Amino acid sequence: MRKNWNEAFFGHVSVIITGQLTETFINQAVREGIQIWDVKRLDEQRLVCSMMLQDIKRIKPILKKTSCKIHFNERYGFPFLIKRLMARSGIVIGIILCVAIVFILSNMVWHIEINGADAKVEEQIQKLLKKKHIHVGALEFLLPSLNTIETDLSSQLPKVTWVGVSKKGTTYRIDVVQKELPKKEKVTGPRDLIATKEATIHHVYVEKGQSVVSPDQVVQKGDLLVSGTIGKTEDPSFVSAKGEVIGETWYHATTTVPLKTDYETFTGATYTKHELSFFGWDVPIWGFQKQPFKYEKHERSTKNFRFLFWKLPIAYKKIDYRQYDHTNRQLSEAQALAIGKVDARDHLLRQLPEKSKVLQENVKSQQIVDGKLVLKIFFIVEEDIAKPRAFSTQERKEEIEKQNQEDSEE
Amino acid sequence: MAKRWGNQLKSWFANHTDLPSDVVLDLPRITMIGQLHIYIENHRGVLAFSNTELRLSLETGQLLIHGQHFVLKTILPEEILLEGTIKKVEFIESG
Repeated sequence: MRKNWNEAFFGHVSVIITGQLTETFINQAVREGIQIWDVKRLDEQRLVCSMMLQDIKRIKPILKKTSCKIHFNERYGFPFLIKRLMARSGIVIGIILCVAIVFILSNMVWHIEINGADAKVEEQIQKLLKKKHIHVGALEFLLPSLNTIETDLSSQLPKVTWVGVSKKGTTYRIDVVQKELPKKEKVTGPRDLIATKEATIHHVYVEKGQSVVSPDQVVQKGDLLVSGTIGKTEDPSFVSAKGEVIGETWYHATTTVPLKTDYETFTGATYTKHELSFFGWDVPIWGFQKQPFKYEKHERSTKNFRFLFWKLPIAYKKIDYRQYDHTNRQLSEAQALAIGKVDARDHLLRQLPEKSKVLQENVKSQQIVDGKLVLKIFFIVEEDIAKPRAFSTQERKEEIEKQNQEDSEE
Repeated sequence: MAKRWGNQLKSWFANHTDLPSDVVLDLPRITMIGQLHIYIENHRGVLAFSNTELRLSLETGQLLIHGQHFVLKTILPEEILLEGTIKKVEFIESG
């Protein structure tokens, strides 16, 4: 009936009260607000009753007044349980150690799995991971977050296109997609080379096929440059035309360069906070400043503690603050012009085939609009304009025969 | 004289309103569950307690409970819960 939790937590005792005035004792104790329950008469002078452990001190004066004596009969509850456990400290230490060991082992890296990498890359990854103290047996909450591992790995592995790091329990899994080696060129069917854009021809290098254009000739988009038909008109053979046709092309580009730019530069000052979070409550352990810098960017990494299969509602949080400064840059028109030219050229070359070259660039107009320099630049570029186009030999043959017939009719 | 007038007023009040008379008249309220439990509110202290007898002081007179295997389950300043086999409940009027 009274078996509520605080009784168990604070502990209660069963006592024997001996004296002539036991009833008076009970009356007075009750009047003082002391909880008494399960009162039983043993004999004329003795009563058994239960009371809270913390009330024992308060009944001492009442005992004196009523000239009763107290004997402790039995003890229940948490404080006594602890006392008894302390007597068997070996078991307690064993239990604590067991929990601690399981806890530590649950937060340990047990296995690192690397998928999709060949032996060389795998070894490289393992070396990089070791440098970051990610190895079997490392404690997980001391390791950087998955995202940082991922970006670090992908920036330090040139041979790899993509790295994905994921974690499943105590296993780190690293998926790698390696850059594939350039494949041997496929055997292609008969084809021509045609122009990708309007241009003036500079040079023609033909590996296979028959060139039909000559330098300084102007071609339109889609014009035939190198024909895949070779040999005599009566008995033609067909090849896969291959070669480079370098043409001169023209581009107009418009760029804008803001004359005043705001920058955020990191000053290098950093501040780190460590927090333990219990059930969503953050308890700072180290680093108590509320706002370390006026202008700051922060990164927060959270590590959950684990116990066997369960995520504990306890997490370790680390917050890195980095200070930055606002600065701005004011450009003169000449500086802006130089920057604009380089920008425009880079932007253009990025869209063109690899070996393209800018032959000439002319700034057609420059204007300052709303604090921005607007440039119009004209480029003359040298680039490969050839593009393959397949044809079917059957159709080509018929075409040529038709042509021959027409010729002979004339 | 004044006290008797007061008592008469109280009993008139209890009779003519819906308020329970134990509240108005300071009487004990006794609840029994078969022979197992007896629950007494508004008592004025334990006079005697043994395995077979519980004597309680009331506002007027005493309450005597006879039975077997008595255990006082709860004692609060104005309430008491007794467990055991209750045989007899007796009011002793003080002279």
